[in-house]
Amino acid sequence: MTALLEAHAVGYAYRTGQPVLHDVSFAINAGESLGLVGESGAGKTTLLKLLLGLAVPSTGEIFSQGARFDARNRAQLRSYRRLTQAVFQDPYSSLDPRQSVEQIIAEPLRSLGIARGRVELKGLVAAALLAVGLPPNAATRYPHEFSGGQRQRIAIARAIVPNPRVLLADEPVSALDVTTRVKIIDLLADLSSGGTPERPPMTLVLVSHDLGVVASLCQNIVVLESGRIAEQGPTHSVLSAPQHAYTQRLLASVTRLPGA
Amino acid sequence: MTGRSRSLTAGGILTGFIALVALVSLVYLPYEPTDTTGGRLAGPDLAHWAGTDKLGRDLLTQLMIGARIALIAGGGSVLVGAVLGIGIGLLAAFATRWLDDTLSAVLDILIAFPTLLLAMLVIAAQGASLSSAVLAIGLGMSAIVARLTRILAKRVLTQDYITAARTSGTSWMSIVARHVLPNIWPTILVNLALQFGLAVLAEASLSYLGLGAPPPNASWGRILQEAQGTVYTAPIGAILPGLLLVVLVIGVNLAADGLRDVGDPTRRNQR
Amino acid sequence: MSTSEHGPNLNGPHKSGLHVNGLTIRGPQGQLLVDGLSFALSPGERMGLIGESGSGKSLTALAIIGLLPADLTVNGSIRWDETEVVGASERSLNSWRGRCAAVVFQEPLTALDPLMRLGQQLAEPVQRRARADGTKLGRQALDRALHAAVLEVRLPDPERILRAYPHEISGGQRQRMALAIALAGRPALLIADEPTTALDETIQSEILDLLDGLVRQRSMALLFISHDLAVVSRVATRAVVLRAGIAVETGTMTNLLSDPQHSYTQELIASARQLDRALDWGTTP
Repeated sequence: MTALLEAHAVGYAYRTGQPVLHDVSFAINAGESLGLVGESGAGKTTLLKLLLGLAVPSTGEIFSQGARFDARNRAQLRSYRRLTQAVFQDPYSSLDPRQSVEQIIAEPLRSLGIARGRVELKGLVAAALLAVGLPPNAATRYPHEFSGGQRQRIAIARAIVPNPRVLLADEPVSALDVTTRVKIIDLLADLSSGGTPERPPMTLVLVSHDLGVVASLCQNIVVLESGRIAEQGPTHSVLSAPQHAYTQRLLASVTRLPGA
Repeated sequence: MTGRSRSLTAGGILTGFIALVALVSLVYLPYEPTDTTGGRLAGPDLAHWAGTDKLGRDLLTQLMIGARIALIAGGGSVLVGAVLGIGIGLLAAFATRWLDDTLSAVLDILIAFPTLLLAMLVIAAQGASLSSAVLAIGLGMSAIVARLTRILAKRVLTQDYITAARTSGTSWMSIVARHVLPNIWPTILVNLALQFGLAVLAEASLSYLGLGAPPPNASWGRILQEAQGTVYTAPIGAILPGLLLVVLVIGVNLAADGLRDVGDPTRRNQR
Repeated sequence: MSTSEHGPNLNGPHKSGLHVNGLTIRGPQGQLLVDGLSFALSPGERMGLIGESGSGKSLTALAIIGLLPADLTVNGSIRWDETEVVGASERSLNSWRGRCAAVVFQEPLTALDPLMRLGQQLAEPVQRRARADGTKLGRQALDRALHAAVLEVRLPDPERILRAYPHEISGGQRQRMALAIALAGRPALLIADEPTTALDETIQSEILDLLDGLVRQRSMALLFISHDLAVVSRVATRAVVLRAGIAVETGTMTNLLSDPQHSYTQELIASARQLDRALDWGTTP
């Protein structure tokens, strides 16, 4: 089975020569959510940019459904964007304050030429709102009228409206309250497992420093340390029997709730 | 949707009044501008509602023409300054480090240059006229607008919604039109209103110095200059143009504030 | 069973420690931000203030130290030993701060002066403390004191750290320095407002260990403010749960975690447990 998304010996360095990523290889298969874990400076953000086509690897290659993906190729980038969408960390910065919710959610539809006509566009926006648990009247309102958790739902609606196969989420719940966090995690779990004929399940790629969040959502895990992969494999085995010293340190440093 | 704004209403009324006077002046003037038949420095009476100036010209006629000139000077300069300024500002915001640094340095030099001095240079080259005044003032203004645009655009570009727009497949041109400009125009609008007032005053200063539109074109500035010598005996000659200047500048600033508020989606339905 | 606490009895003989009684904070438009908050913290006791965004926890921290923005109105009483903070003059509070109470904030980059070397920033409270004790530190004595302070927060190479500017050291090192500065005045009360939230996980646990150790060592009272239940339970023995400016429940950490009474506390703990448990089993199917 061809992997949905694959990184092959990917490396990235700034123009000044400072290396950020080195020899990163992993594969994401359809239906198998992946977590990219690491602390600050591990290179998660850079890897995310590469996977979003916002930057080009210095070395190595990225494959999308078996075909080599070059972000500099406009046509390739366009079709890549139909397959891969993103949700970002800061719900207060990721929504344009001067646009209505409907305009925000409809942007990928407009830019990627998906909807034919206003009626279809409105319908797709309404369906996306429903899928993320927001009321239909949210469409005419503005971001400042919503809480952090609700804004993140709007951002998720925008990401899923073009029916992407891969949803890349960069610290999607870090800026949220604990009680809200769990709700958004449940939503993401829902969207990546359940599915309807109109909206097939997406494969989730989650970038986070929070092991608990990654463990809740991802079947496989890649642990990054200083730009290199320390360890990767099924989440269950990596967390229960970590091989690499860094992974062990990471696990040991998580503050646990006393008593189960 | 339209929202209520007292600023907008008040500003609209004040500016509208001046604009009305200017419009009326296009079709009707009480006297010919060159008509010097009134007595010299006559006070206001039925024949001359605002009196006459030291050459016997009807003051009301002069003021009405002055309204036209003030609006052209202010509006024209703002147009030049905005188009040039926003264009260069956006360029600098998207430019490479080197180009940005160079542009910023050039803009700083322009800003440091006194507007009037700049205007005199342009006028020395082009000859004194309303259009060269507008060009000169607009040029000086564009540097400030460019600096402002650059910093506002740069700030917007760091926001995640720009990255989200890119991953949504939106082209850079669309991003500028749909995300950057709408988020920076309120602040720029208020600044342009401020510049409008300064432009009108600058033109008045130029006319006062004799560098603006030559007679018989009557700018409020020139009327002020001519009334200077007789301000104790016939103060109305100085008070009226000054008053009209104040009305216009305040009106435009209030209107711009109001316009900015009305267009701001975050002011309605506060959570 | 966890208990709900009634306000401390101030009619009895003078009590030492921190006594917050009926603390009410209103915003510039009169909106209620903190409503009738009451709790007590004995000297040497470590207590948590648990709340999410909008709960008023950070405002409470600022109120206790007397640093609330001027456009907020405060009613009620905040008493540390003999000093009443609410309504006190800036002058009297100034001498009280640093000496009796100190704060460590979430973001060390903004809490430290970016234009001053760390040695200078640390020297200030050290000198103030010495003056309050009646001594004056000469050059060499000051140097020794500064070195000792840096080593106490387990930072190696004090020379380099003292000469550096805040942006020249890492986030974890900055937070240690912020802690050193807070402790330099030898306060009896330390307020820590989300001190580890902005740090990486591995650094987080180190800072918590350090904080815990130092507080115990000096028998300081600690008010630890955080939204993270696991972190609070590591450092505090008792906690108040805040929600929208109101204390919904108070009790020992053990009781709160095992037998929460209020529905909000229950929701908070359930959410935290869900994420915590995921670590044991990997992904949920």
